[in-house]
Order: sequence, then structure tokens, then C-alpha cells
Amino acid sequence: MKKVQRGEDSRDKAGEQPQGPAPWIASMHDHFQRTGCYRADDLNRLLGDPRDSVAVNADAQVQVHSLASK
Amino acid sequence: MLGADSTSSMFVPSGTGAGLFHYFNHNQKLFEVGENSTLGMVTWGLGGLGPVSHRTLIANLDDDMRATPAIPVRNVQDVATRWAGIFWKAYSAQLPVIAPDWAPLLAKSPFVAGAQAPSPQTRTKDEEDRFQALSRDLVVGFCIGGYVLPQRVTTAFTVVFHPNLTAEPIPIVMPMFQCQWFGVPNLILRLINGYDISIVQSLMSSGKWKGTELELRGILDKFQLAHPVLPIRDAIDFVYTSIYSTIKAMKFSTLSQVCGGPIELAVITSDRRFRWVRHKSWDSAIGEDKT
Repeated sequence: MKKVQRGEDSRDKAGEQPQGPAPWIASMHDHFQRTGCYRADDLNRLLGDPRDSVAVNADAQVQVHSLASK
Repeated sequence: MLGADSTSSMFVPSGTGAGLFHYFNHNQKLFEVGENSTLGMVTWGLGGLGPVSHRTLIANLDDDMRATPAIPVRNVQDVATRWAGIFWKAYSAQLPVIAPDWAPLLAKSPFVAGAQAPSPQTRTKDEEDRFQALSRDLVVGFCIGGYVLPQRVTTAFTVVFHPNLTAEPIPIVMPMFQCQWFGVPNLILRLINGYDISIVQSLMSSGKWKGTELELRGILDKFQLAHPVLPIRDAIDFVYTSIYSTIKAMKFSTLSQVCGGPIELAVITSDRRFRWVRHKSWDSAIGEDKT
């Protein structure tokens, strides 16, 4: 039976991970270095569309339960 | 509950086509509409209209409501509609001054990669990049909340302006018990949902997901953080924490710090007028050098 040392094991697992940032992130950083600004596509991908919002509804049912337990 | 960060981002061109972002961390994004008011407003996106500040226009809104009582302001929707008209007039007038290349770029058709002998009426790659940047940079939104006496019914409306509009936008009501985040939506979306829009798009286009987008979202949405209807002080904490988390996400992602500075919070409860929860003092920028 092959004895796997801890270091070797973690190296094997690390080898399965992608190396470095994704190509589009590298491209974004390269563009930023050259121009001092981010491309609209990159910002939309990273931060989202400023015309959109994130909406979360409170769960009214949860409050009913907590009140009922008092 | 209204809340905002305080960072204002400015692009400083170098003259060679390049440039850099510069940040001021003590800008005002949250306003009381008038004084001793039952209305507040928060803004995101474009920080001003050249010589005309949002602050001035919001004061104009208050002046306008007082000067023309014959035009009824029965509720927050009436206020938001009046604001849409006032801001649209300023926005559409200032757009050619702020971005003189917007209209010529809009008049052209979109860039087509690899097109043979492209028409002069088609945007070049550089023009397309500029067009897309302006489409994003010229967006400005407002959320107006509170109540209008004699009715103590608290409501909020959002109004979003962007350069593709041809007329003032219609205010959109925010449902009761709903929390909305604007400006940098993806980061809070990741925190609340555990994923953002780009991740869904990437999975769909990877070819490794065999179901529909609806089915994918159905699985992912099961992990959404849910919260009950919060007591008011906990709601204040929730809004503060959301803004704080976004600021820190920007910081530790090594992206430009487009969100930061003091967090400002205000509350309008149905029994009281506009109240500041956290409001930076006029010397807050001077205090930056404190250790």
C-alpha cells in the first residue's frame, strides 16, 4: 500500500486547482494598467448593472412564528 | 431606512488616453428633502450634473412643492413623480455638456467584430468601448422614501435615469418589507444569494449544465439568506452591515475602492420625521488624518 505523506497529498490536490486568475481577470488588470480604467463589461461582470437592484423580501412568516413562541 | 456610503469616484484623464481614478470619501449621497421633513432620498451612480449638484436639485424639489401647493402632493408617489420631472429636465440638459460624444455615438450602429469594410455609421471598437462605458457611467438612480401627511403611510419609490431614456422615467414602488441595494449590486447579491448573475450565465454557457436556467436558479435559491420582518433598530443594523460588507468586499478584492468612506443612515418612522442615525460631521474629511 502506498503511503501518502501529507505534503504530497496537498500538492496533488493543489495541482487540480486552476493556476492564477481567470483569463478575463488577467485581461481586466492588463487593461486597467494600460488605461487607468476598467472596461464596462468587466464592471458589469464584477459589480453588476447600476440600473439593476438586488431585492430581498423579509419573510413575514418568520416573525409570526417568533411572536407565537413567546 | 435609507443608507449609503460616501465615496465619490472621479476619472482624471492624463491626456494620452489613459488616466486614473481618484476618490473622495466624504461625498453626500443621502439627503433629507427640505428641513424638518417626512421625506428622504438616497442616490447612486453619477455623482452630479456638472455645475448642478444633486443637493441643489433636491432643495429645488422641496421649494417646488412649497411654491406650487395647487399641484397636490398626496403621497410619496406624487413626490417621486415630481422629482422625476425636475431631475429629467436637468439631466437631459446637462447630458450633452457632461458627455458631448454620447449623442454621436448613439447615432451610430453597434460595432461588429471582423466586419469587412465597416460603414462610417458603425461604431469602431474604441467607440464601442466608449459607448458602453458611458452607458454605465451616466446612470444615476434615486430612492425616495417616507410619508406625506396627513397619511402616515411609509412608502418608497425608485427612479433611475440613464442616457438611453427619451423621457422622464416612471417611479417604481418598493414593496413593503423589501430591502433593495443599488450601485454595486453583485457583491451584496453574492452575500445574500451565494451567487451572482455572472455565475449563472457562466454555468449556462459552460455546456456542463443540462437543465434550464430556471432549474439552476431553483437549486441555487434554496441557499438564499432569509430574514424576518426586523425591528427598526435591527433593520438599521442590517442596512449598516450590508453597506459595510460591500465596502470590505471591494477592499479585499483589490478592486478600486469605489465604495467606502463613512456610512450614513437615516430612518423615517411613521410617528416621527426624518431622523439621522449616522451622519458625518462637516469636518469628517479633516478627521482623516487622525490616528
